[in-house]
Amino acid sequence: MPSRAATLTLAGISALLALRPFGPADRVADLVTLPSRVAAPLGLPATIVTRTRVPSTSGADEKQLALEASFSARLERAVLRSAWPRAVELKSEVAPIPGEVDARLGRSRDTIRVRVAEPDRVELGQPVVAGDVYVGRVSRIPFREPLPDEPGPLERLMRATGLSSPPLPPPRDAVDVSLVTGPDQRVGGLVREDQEGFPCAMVVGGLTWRPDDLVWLAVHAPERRSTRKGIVVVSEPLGLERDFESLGEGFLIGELQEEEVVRPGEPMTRRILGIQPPIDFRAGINQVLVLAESEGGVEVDHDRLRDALPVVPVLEDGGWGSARLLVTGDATPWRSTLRVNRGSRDGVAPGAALVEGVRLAGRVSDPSPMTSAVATVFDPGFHVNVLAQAVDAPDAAPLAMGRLTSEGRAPDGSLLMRWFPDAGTAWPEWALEPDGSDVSREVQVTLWTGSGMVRVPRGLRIGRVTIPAGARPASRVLGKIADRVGDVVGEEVPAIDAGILLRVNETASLRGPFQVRFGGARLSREGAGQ
Amino acid sequence: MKRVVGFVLVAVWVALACAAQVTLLAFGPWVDIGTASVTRALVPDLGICVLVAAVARVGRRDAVGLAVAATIGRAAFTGAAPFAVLAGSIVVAFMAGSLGRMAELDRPFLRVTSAGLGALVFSAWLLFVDFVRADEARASGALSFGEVGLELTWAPLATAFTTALVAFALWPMLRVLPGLRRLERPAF
Repeated sequence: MPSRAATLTLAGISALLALRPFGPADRVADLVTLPSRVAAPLGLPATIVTRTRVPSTSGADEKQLALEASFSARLERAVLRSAWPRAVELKSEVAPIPGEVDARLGRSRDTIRVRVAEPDRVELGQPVVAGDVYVGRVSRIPFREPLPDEPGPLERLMRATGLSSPPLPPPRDAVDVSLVTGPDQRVGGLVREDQEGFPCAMVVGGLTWRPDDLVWLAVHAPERRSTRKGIVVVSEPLGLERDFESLGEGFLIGELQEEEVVRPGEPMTRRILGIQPPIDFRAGINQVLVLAESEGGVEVDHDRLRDALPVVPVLEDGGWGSARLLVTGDATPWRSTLRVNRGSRDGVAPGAALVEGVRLAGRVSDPSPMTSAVATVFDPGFHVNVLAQAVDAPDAAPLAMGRLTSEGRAPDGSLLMRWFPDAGTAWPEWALEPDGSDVSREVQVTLWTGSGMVRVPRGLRIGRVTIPAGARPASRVLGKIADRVGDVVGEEVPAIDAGILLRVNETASLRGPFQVRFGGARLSREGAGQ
Repeated sequence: MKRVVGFVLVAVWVALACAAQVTLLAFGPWVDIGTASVTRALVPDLGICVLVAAVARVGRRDAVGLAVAATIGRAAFTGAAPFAVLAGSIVVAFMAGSLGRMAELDRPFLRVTSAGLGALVFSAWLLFVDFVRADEARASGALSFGEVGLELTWAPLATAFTTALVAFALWPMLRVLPGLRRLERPAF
């Protein structure tokens, strides 16, 4: 029997492993708690009680679920089309390669992984755009340059004992894109007409310091020091080593602005100059185009390419498997979780989506070998990248709402989600008042998952909500400017700091039947080359 | 072998207790980031009651074994990390065992104190783990689940209060749960 010191040491080690998860130790813990699977049916009474209390607007019959699946496909088509520029004209020799944003890479917020339709045509340094907006460049093609696998002695021992495994080879269709927000990224920019009517060339890249969460791109070496306002577009007329750096010419970078701020600890105000991008780099990029030259410089029919994009319905790519509910509820009173009968032995990984029809029910938080704990959408802190589709215009370009965070359930059972409108992308016309005041109109929308989340495909339904009137996006002016690149900007308006609490109805009922996402992160596409 | 069966039975009793706890929570208000979750915290932690009663019967020497059994029993009914539950269970068992060395835990005051204190420490610890993990995930962009609001600071106190009351009321039954006799050690 352990001594007092040994007992307390064991408690300390367990506490440390709780605060700093360590993969092999978690696997051992999963094996030790495996027998608890047998006790799961004891949770049946809780499941029955919860089912009787779920509001009638949640859940749907088969016909409704099939209809929702068709709306998901329409959303997907709208997202694919939205990646194509409207105001900027693509050069005829450009053959864009569509790419779907996968997820952020580890801790880096300035690099995203994109799954492209034609990986063989992608080259390092090619510009990447989303609609009319310049996003960044291709910085790495993992399949062609995989990271070396050099395990140390401990890692070799853990692999030999089955507690660890070698890294999976990177998928063929994945490319890494360094966003223009990265500190080492630079792109040539041009203000065609500033506040005094003069042009001004500059270099753009990285972030300018700001006292709040707004993202401003940094300006380097402006040609004219007096330029303070203007629309900045990509301008790299002198191609360097590779011609395709000029393929991004004319794409929008953002709106040059100046603001007076006070830095903490300093008595005086400072003037900061930066570029506000019309896109939410954190959670608003869903579909991009990698700009590549056509083979042999042949002219490309962009309209035909854009309209011929293949769409795979979100539940039909073969990456899903059925899951049965074991327990609804959590002994921890501030959590909303459930447990299903699929685990890591079936290929379930942390973060995998759990769906009810096409409705998102939650994400796997802790897979053990035979079961998985799932954090439901009602779990406070559950966050998801969201696209909003107008109920009366399901084929229009969706609104990228950015990241919404769950705050649990309202007493009537609806889902509460916190939304920061100033973090979103430039808003589409259907979301704004028609009088040109650049504030939101009250509009009923369907919320869907966006891209950029590990093991959560785009196009899963979250619910239905009414966006309130009067919300103002920070990049509202550029919502108009995207149609008229080259205009001088209007005035700034303050963003809403506390966000807006939305009540979402028609959510998942958590009754099942469920499907859980297995293995691969993204939907298969024709020619994806997986 | 007899002792192994004893620990398995403790895990079963903890599982039953947690299942009852989850059922009681299902009748309560929905989970939210504020006061509703504090109200939910008024549901007593029955798993802790069973653990403390087992330690009272068996002694501090088996604190680790009982804590592991409690962790296994609770695992199916919580999304909390197993190591967080294990660390909390070890501390609760150790505390109850230490109190039991000073005087019999069967005394009403001590049974209330050990169960209430145990629930307070356990709940506060799980809250702390969720807070730290959410905070780190916000900074690093990693996956995280379970975010705590400031109102939840009162939740451990609410749980401790009701758990103490339940321990006071149900102690005679918890003390004689089948299987605990197998874990007793002879005095000589």
